[in-house]
Amino acid sequence: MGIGGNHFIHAARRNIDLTVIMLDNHIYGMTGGQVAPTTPMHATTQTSPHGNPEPPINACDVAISCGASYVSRWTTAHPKQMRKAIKKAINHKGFSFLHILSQCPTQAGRYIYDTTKPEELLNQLKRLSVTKQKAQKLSKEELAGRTVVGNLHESEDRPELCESIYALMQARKG
Amino acid sequence: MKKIIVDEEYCKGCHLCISQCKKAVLAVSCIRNARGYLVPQANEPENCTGCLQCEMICPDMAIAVEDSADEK
Repeated sequence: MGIGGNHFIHAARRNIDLTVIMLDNHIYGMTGGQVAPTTPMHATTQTSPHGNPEPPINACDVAISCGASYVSRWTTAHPKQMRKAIKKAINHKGFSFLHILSQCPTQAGRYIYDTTKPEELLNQLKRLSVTKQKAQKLSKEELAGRTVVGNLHESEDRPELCESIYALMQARKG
Repeated sequence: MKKIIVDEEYCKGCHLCISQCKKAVLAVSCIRNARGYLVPQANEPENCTGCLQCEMICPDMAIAVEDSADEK
């Protein structure tokens, strides 16, 4: 979302038949644990030793507002649901976006979550996620700090880019 | 009975499979792979229900759960 953000927005706007799977581990892990656009607010990282002053981006809301036609969010603690969602996203005609929350024991675990045990981080992901159906019944205070998972958005209203280009070509041919 | 195959070459010893197994089939073995990680081992394969949670959770795709030959 930080480096490919612009391309992501315009691919979603055009509703091109792409499937984007974003693995979100809340940090730039491979380069040494720098603060990322999805790092939680006030989290300590290598480049924010006094806490992250920025609020994180909600990639699913960005995708929906830009016009993506299939948006879903799952975590690595839900492998079965994730497999179904990936299948659905690939078969979906139009821009499909999957936000997969994953654990990063080496960097995010060390700096943000104070544990480097992968199983603890996995259980935490499961504990803090709440399905879309359950989230509708909960109040805003109860949802604070938790992530809503599930099939967040699906629509067939907008035309797919390639289809509209071919339609235009046919119309111009006469 | 299911047969649980752990590819020792790919395993990085995170033991997520052990934490995910509800039937406690997998356990840490005393076998170290070439990189020095302790690989998991199926201690009680007769308890395996074939839910595939360990196979799906493995970040390195080092686990495969198969039906053993006598069942086929």
